[in-house]
Amino acid sequence: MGSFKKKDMKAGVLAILICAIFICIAFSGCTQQQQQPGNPEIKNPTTYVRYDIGEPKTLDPAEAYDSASCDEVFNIYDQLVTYHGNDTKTIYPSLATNWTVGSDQETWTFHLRQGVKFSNGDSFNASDVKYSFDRVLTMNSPDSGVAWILSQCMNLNSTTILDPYTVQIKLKNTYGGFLALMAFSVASIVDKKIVETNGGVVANTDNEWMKEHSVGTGPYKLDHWTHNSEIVLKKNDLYWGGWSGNHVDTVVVKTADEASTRILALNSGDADFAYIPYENLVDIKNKTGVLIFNAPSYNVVLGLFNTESENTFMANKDVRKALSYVFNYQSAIDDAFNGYLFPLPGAIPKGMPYYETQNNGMSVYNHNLVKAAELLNASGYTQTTKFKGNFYRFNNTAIRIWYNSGNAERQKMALSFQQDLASIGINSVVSTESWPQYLNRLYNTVDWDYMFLGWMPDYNDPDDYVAPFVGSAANGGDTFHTGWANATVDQMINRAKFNVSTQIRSDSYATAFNIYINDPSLIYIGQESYTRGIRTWLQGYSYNPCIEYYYYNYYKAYK
Amino acid sequence: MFHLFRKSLLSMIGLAIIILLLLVALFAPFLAKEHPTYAEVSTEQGTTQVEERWEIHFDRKLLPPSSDHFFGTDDYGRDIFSMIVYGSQTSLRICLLVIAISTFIGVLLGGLAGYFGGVLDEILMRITDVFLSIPYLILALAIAAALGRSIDHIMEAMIITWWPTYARLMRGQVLALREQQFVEAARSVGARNSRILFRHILPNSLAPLLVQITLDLGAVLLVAAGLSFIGLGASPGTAEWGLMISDGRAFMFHAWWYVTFPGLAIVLVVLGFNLLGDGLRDVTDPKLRR
Amino acid sequence: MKTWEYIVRRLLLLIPVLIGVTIITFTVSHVIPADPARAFAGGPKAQPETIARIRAELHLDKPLWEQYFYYLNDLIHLNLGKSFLENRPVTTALAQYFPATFELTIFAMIIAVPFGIIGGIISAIRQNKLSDHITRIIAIVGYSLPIFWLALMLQYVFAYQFPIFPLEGRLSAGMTSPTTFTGFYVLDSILSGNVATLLSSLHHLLLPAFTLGFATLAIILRMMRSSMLEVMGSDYIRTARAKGLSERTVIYKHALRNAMIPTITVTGLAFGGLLSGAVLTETIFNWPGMGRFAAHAVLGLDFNAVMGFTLVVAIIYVLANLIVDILYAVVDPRVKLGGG
Repeated sequence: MGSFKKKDMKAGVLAILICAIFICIAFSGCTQQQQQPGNPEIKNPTTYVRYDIGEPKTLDPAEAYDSASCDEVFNIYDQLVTYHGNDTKTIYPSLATNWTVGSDQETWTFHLRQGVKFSNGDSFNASDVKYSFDRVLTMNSPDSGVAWILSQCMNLNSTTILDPYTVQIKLKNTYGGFLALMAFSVASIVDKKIVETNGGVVANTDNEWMKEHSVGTGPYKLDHWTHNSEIVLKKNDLYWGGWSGNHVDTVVVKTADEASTRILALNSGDADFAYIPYENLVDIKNKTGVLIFNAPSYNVVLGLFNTESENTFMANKDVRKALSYVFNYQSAIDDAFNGYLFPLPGAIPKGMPYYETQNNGMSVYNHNLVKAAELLNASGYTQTTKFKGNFYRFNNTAIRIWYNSGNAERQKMALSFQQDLASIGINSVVSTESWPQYLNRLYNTVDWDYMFLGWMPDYNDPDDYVAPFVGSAANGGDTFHTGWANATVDQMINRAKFNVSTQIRSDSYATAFNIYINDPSLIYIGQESYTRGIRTWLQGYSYNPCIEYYYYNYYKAYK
Repeated sequence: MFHLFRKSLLSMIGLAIIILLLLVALFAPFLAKEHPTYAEVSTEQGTTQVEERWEIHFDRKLLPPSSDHFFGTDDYGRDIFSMIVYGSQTSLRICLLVIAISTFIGVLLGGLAGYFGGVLDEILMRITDVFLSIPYLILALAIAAALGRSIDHIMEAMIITWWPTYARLMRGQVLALREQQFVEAARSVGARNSRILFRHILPNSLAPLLVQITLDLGAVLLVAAGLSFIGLGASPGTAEWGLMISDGRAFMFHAWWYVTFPGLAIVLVVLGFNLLGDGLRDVTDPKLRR
Repeated sequence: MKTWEYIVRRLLLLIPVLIGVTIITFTVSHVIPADPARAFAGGPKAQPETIARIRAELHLDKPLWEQYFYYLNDLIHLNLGKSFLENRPVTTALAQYFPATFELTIFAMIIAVPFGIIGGIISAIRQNKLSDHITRIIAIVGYSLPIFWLALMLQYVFAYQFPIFPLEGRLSAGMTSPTTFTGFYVLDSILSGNVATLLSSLHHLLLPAFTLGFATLAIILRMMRSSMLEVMGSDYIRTARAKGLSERTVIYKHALRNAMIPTITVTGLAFGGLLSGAVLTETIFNWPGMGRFAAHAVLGLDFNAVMGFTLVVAIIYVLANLIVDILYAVVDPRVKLGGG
């Protein structure tokens, strides 16, 4: 056996060598992970790094509608007006320095800022404004449909150029929240010259170049975008706001769908900002240099009732009131969202104008099984059917509860709801499916009794919420296909929509509320808290539900 | 032959594990601390199915292993040990059903194709080619996604992807055997084809089939767990080992028990099947006898 | 038959296989009741005109068989449609993800094959000794582990408790990828002389490659061991020994050569298993490859993506089998391609 020891040894040496290489590689990473006492050293001092899930769909403001896309659009482009800091009540000048509205409530005149340049050196003037708005309307983005935000009150004849730095917009109908629209990403100003050289405006067609390239007047410009990996912005040296003071030069947004990845990046300082799901906040809670940021957002969590279900008891308003009493709101806040949810009394979230018209912000429904049982018994839906030792209502028909797969919070609420329903004798089945199937079920079928869904703001006006939620389908509402309608509520919604008077709008929303809360088509579960993990060295950050990130304000230092 | 089997320590360990699995599945109600309830619900297809429900106690969520909860609790406050115990019933059911049906279909089709040859054989070869040219997980993924999320559906998906293996195996066996002398002999005395197939060919092809089956029982469990892990198998709230690992992943850093114990259960059971299968292979393969 | 004829024949057989595959995945993904048009259009906020437009674009209102022919037509023009989850063509997405998965698979094989073969040889030579038992137990545990669980455990121990390895991804945060020559970060780093990305990409490759390769390592080890044992006990070897040839010659020239044959087959077949395993491994390590793309596509019912990667995977699988069969013939002169 001795003579082959040499080859045997060679194989062994090779194996050991490979192992040694791997071990060296392993420990080469070690040096990067040493913890410093006191304040950890700031990593990448002039770069802001955010770890998030998903990624933008497009960088074209005339197409961007999802939040990931709008996030970047708001930093690459400017609008005529904007919000500052965490103030949601005041509109500030941006590319427009001041503005007036005529006595007809429909004609708005904007005076534009002079000396502004796009990131490629082109000069900004009124022709770019008209071009941008008309472009949105003509292009009518087929992929996202975002054009409706402007087309609901504007058309191609609305915008006129009075002189190179004055623009007049005559709306086709009054819109109470017009300035809020002008502050939204769809109203961003693009460079007419560059778009014309790259595909121009084609009716009902998206512009492929604008999806992945950017020329804006905003503080940052696109450096590169590696899909599903990262998007990097670099500072726009020609930005009209200038670069004196503290601002980051580079912005890196990384796509990391695994919570564990984002947690580690945040804790190690590789990320300055990260989206951490509620159940994992405990993993970043007491880590050095990390803090948890928390503020109410406009994102709401809703339960939808199908009044047109084949289970006809769903059409009965007392049944839906009873179900609203069965739901455990506190458990949703404590257990599903780990405390990061705010109560929601009605369709308008806290922070938006006219929130107080909803019973002064106090929820009408709470978790009260006794009251629920009373309501059901009074309506004749008693526990009559016996099955395996328990008595059930509705002839043991199971209420079909759905949520979209992958959503941990909704899964918790669904299973918890099921258990509560069973305790007062209501059978239910909880099912889940993927998003396209879920949408199909909601919009194209009536094969459901109860579904979970959310809603996010388009702009800062209650019309964006109340009309779609409780307006009837005939009135352009009922976006959740509940099949619910009430003529007075529709009247009130329209009154508020076409008036600028605060008194009229307030009264309208209050009247509507008192009607729809007593015949609920939705369960108002809660208002999501905007919760993120942030490094303590990040300065200048503030949260505004209307504009999620404003990188220009950020810089890294210890205070 | 069996004395050799008994001599192999590893095979005996495998057998012991499988017997343990059977006992746990059988005596689950006595071993577990918490028990699920079962509700009858009608599915969209119009059938009724029985659903497993576990009681939720949010106040007990994510407790570490203790004398009260051997394996800790999950994020709904359910006892993980009990869920693993009842999960053994689900796992056993999946493994046995998938293999039994795949084997039946595969052996039938493969045997017939191998014996009669010709066009039948060609067709079978092409069909199995198609199925075998897609890695099983991916095909199972596509099918399970289409049929909807339930354990029954992933079993159907797995059967569809698994039977070709048995068909090929059986066909190979039959091809080799049908030229053998004892078959010639049987034919010369005028035995019918069906008799030849059942009394001569089938018994002699059993040994490699048996080995494949035992090894595949473990493989099925791994695939089923993988599908549940991705989110296609067990419906939420069921105690299925793969699903538990998937649910536990989000809590891995501060509740390691949620991911670890169901995983260990899978490893143990698959190991048992593999050891058993290995032992059977060593025993039945004449070339390896020493 | 001649080698070239054989290869051409096998490649032609690819066509019916691919048609079969596409029919299956097409039917499967299109009979699901779902509303991809609305999902494309943005869900609850989608405007009716947008949805109608997308529906017409995707031919969703036409009968199934007609849709299939639109699909085939697109396929011939190498158009795999658009992925609504990523809002870009499927071909672009696959082109970006394919090198990542391929690199991962190669490294998994780099771990699996040498260690598997060496382990198998050692095990066979030292049969029934302690080292044999240990290697056999490691091997058998190796393919009893659920790959996603192994990934999680490795992550927990080596990236969290004792953080010597990174948790996810191909490169450290903030590092830009090396200049793209091939899409394989290791190769590109070497070609562009970028030491930082070379080390970082190797560092990031280790855990996922190990996870992916471990089961294959186990299988190769066992196969090598059993075929070595089989060959070493054969008459052929006994004769060689009787002739007085040194043990070294016996083992390496004769036994090894014969034992390699089934091992190559297994390695080739394991390739398919690697592609499946990649789905789970990439999901956990957030590896931007086809596996992760597949998982998201299937869960999100991104039809075009599902059909796209199934097609690509089928092609790879068939080609891999072909290469294995050719290698088989190269290694064993007794084997004649095309039967014989």
